[in-house]
Amino acid sequence: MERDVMDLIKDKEFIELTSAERSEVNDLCANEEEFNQMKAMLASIGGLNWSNPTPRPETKERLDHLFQQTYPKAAPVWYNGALAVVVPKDKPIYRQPLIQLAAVGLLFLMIYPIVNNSNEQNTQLAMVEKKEAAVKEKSVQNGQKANTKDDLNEISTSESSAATMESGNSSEAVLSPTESLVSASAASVSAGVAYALPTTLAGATASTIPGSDHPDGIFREDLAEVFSVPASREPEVFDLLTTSF
Amino acid sequence: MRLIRPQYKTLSDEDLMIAIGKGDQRAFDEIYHRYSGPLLGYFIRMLWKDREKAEDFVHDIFSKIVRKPELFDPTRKFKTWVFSVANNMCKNEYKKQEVRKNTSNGLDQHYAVGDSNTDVFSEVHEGFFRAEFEECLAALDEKHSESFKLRHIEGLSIKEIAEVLEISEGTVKSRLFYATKYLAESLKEFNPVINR
Repeated sequence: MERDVMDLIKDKEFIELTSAERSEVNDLCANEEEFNQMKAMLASIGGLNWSNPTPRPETKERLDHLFQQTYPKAAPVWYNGALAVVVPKDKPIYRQPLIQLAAVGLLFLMIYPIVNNSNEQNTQLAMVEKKEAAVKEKSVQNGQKANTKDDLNEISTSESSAATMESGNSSEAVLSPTESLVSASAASVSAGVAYALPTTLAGATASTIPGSDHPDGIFREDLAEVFSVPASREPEVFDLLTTSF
Repeated sequence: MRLIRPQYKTLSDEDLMIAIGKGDQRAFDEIYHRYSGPLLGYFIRMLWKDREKAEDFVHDIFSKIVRKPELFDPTRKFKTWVFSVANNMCKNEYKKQEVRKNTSNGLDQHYAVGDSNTDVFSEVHEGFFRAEFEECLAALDEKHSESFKLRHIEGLSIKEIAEVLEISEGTVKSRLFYATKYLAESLKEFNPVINR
């Protein structure tokens, strides 16, 4: 706040004035008596209570009425309050809560597929592995069954040729083609090729899984799997065997 | 709701005026609360203690604020702007009264008629000093009295007075100097009161 002659007179005693200040005051009060008189007057004026009166309530009521006429209020719809909060008109657009929420939502929508996509790939890979393992197991089993079928079919087909052979060579002649077939079928199993089994043989194969202690049948121990077929179900093969012995 | 709505009491006068321009009635209530009293006091002092007229002037000045808030330049201080408007209203009223005075019987009905010296020595107390002071102030030239009132009663700085009256700070100082000298001369009989 600027300091003028009045402030000098109010704040300082005559004796405290510097020569520069005294020359400044000199126009207003020539001597100490006048200075003190001026000082006292200003202090008295400052000491007066200049409290302002309060206007009558009618004045305010008239002004309120005028204000409502000049600025008619918006219709009191239910969302008016919420709208004023989320879209305040006095804020810049980037500071409006609705815009901020929309921006966050958009950001989430943009990020979510990226995050979610990597998770999905992992789970899909896991599922494929499981499926592959299951398929492998099945195909191995099917391959075993197919081997059995092929062996037995081969045995039955070699029946006629075995009849013409001699007794010593006949057993070898029966077994040697089956070996090649089994090995071929084993190769086909490893290649994932499955063969269908006849229902009769499937049942027999199921009952003669490796480890079976069935007393009779055809046992193949030269391969990793040992299986047998009941001789009662294949009488021709049984007769062939008995004749060869 | 306090978290959302602005704190009107902490808002500046200029911000309140911007809000009024947007139809914010609470902003208007706040500005009325801040300035209705000082303006009424100012009008009473400037308009010959005519309370009715002062009330009307308060109504008129706030009506202007409601109807045409765009008249206020936000780069200026509201306080000086509103006092300059009030001062201009008083000047217009002085002109009106001048016309009436010329067409009337020549008696100025606003100024107290009487010999002030009759009461000067009858009772020495603050109330009397006030009455005498106000009388001397009323007798002062308008341009000097308004500067003095704005400075010592309304509490405006010299710079603010210069803005209100649209004159230079040097002129304000000069007017204050003259008014103070005049009042000091007129009130020198009150030395016993002043010096107590």
